[in-house]
Amino acid sequence: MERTGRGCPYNELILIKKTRLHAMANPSIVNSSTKPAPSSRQGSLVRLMRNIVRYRVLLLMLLPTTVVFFVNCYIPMFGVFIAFKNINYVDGILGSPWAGLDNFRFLFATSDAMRVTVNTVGYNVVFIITGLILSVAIAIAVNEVRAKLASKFYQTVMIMPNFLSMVVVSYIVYAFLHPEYGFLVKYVLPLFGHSSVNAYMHPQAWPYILWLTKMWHSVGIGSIIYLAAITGISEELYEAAVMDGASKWQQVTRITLPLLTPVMVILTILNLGGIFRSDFGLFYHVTLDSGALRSTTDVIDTYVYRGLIQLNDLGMSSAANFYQSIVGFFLVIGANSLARKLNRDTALF
Amino acid sequence: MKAARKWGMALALLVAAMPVIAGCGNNNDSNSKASESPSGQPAATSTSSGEAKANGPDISKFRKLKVYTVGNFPQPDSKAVVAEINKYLKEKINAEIDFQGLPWSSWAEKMVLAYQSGEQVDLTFAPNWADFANNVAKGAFLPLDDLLAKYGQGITQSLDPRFLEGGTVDGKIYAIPTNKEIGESHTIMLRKDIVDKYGFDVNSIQTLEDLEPWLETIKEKEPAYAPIWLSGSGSDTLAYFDKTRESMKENFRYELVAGAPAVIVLDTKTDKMVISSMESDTAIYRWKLYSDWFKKGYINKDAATTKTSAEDALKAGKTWMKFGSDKPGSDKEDSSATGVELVKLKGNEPEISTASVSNSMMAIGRTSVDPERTMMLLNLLHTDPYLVNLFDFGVEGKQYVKIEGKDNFIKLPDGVATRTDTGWNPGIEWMIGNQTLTYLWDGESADKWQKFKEYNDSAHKVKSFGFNFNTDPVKTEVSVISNIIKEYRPLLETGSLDADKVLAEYNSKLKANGIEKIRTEAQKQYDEWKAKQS
Repeated sequence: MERTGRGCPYNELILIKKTRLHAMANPSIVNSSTKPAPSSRQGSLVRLMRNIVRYRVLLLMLLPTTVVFFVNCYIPMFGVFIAFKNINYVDGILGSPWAGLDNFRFLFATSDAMRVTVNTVGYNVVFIITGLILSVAIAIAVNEVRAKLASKFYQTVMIMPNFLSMVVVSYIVYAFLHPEYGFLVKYVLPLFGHSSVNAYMHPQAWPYILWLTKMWHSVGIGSIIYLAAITGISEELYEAAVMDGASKWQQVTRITLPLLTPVMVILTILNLGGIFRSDFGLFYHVTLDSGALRSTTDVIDTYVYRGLIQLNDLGMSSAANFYQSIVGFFLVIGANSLARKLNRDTALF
Repeated sequence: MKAARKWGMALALLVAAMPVIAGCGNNNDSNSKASESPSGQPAATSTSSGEAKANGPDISKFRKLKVYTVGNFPQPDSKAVVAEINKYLKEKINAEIDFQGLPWSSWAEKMVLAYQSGEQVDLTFAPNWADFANNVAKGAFLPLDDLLAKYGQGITQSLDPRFLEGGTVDGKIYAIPTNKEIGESHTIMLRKDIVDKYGFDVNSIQTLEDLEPWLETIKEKEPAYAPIWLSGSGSDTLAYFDKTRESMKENFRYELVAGAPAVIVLDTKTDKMVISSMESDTAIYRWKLYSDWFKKGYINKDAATTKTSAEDALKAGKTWMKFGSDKPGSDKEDSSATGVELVKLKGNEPEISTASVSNSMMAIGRTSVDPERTMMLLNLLHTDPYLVNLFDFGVEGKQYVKIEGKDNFIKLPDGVATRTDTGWNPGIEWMIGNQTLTYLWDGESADKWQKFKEYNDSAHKVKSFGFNFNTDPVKTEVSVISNIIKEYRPLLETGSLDADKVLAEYNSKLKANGIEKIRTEAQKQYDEWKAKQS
């Protein structure tokens, strides 16, 4: 199955944003280039050349990312129309007959369409919100740890899970939940007077299990960016606050959080772009693909995977990917304009 | 203004890249047209082969053929074995192979990529259960009728003609099945030591129900073993050994339909397509039996979700049984494969179906550099014992030694404990050409291939033999139904939840998602196909 859309590193965008912030903070650089402009075509061309020469170092630094983006994210867009075709190998991509919107039908033709959509969006919204809160909280807490060694230790412990693939994670979860030998089933449940339970047969438990797993897996790495942003906040602000008698809590709510807001908004907007996608490994492997759990664990990606793994239809898988991307695109645009309405500076673009 | 300029730049870049992209597309196009020619008759290939016919096949040009197969790869001694194969092939047909032995875990995905990307694929393992019909429909393989007639006489002479139907789509042959057992039958194999310990008599078991007292005994006296090991996510289901009292009453009444979602079966009594979970009494009876057994604790508790196959569970000492084929000598084969001595129950009667004759086939890719030479290679694999044994068992004197005085028998070299330790044990005997040409391992019965022949002759040929359901007209419904089947089938096939409850939910969901549309289409295709048969 194609997952090209996924590989694009959104984080690169943050760098671009940061460069812009930097430019704004140093108006001298920007102003010098925006003299009253000659309105003729030639004038603008000259100005463009001059800007290129002036910012050659910055542009050069931007070049590798641009190339990577172009190759990995833009050239494959050429294949978008596969979603509207009946692909066969003989006629190739260009020659295959058109299929109209037929490839998209299977996404909505099921009585479970509602279930997978609600699950996908629901889990993502919860992950985004709680992930944000926990990441920021951890970043602030770690930042307050003064002992260098301890601080590094906590960070490492919290980031480590992110490097485990979801398949490995699925076995860790399995070690807890195995119906006979699982840690929880064998040692913890008896303490509460419960006998053996096969968690993989009880869908109602899974929103919690998946949430816990996801948070454990991703919150640590998520806090890194906030930690970096906090480190960037000038010490003077805190010193001044201490002089005025601000408590630790007040320092956090009055200084740290307001200054973190732009980063939080940006990351949230970017996350919204993926709201119709889900962590396939989490929903497929960690649940062991158990049929009994579908009502609470079936999401768009797993639905598409299970539906097409046998048909192996290129057009239909492209259609699914296209649908997810389009929805994500409009969500990013929408969220960004909302952010701009509320506060111009926090918007992404 | 600024933004517009940026877009202008981007556009310029895009325009600059266009020729590259278009170039790719065009190339693809011309490539595919050239290599597709055999189906469009004339073109370059047929003229050259016409010349060849006049003065024997032309093999003056050296070829490197890319051969794809799947098995327990990689093997430590691959290089040496392939070198030996190449030495022989160079002499025989002035060709060598680029041997792509892929592991089971990634084979399916890699093949999809290879077919799609237009990579060179000469000979490839293309069984019906790996998307064969779909790949043919998409044009991944070449039609072989002409090639077979010209360069494959060895195949047509040695292969039971019923086999060829397995690789036939719309009257054209697209793949050549392996020459092996033609029918399929399944059984359960049990640890011999345990069977002996409790004095069980294997011959006394006629149906699944007869097993119950044994399961009871194992559950009580051998708590380390699961009496029955099932894995819902894999293929270990009791459906294979469908010998309930109910199903024995009307043996062979319901047939699986090749290519159709698993819930659609053909009722041969009425010639109607039925939905097994609603209308097949035997299937419903079987599921209820499983759910009863699960409640009694005869089935491993994690059956619905475990990925451990019964065979692996047997090796790990978690159970005392495994599923297996009931073809002649299969208990011996599996004993040596698992390292545990096994005895088998009397299996169900062999059945020849579209699936059974096409479960192991070789096809020639549309991107083959030389289809003629590839067919010659395939012909050798069906006729040349030296080559077949080289592929299957490795190099004589290194991976095996011949037993003196017994012509056709081989054994492991001294000091080597198992076949895995020989450095070449890919487990591909059933894929490569003609299995009846392979040597017999020490301990196998000398008349194994004779028994194979009897087994093949005795097999029951299913009514829908040769029929293949084309999912294309209802692919939306099929993808939707696939999801539902994957949700409920493991639960039913392992008895993990109460069968009545699951069935009610399952059926109402199937109905709500267009199973009737699939059934109607299947019935239509089947009727059309049947009309053409007579």
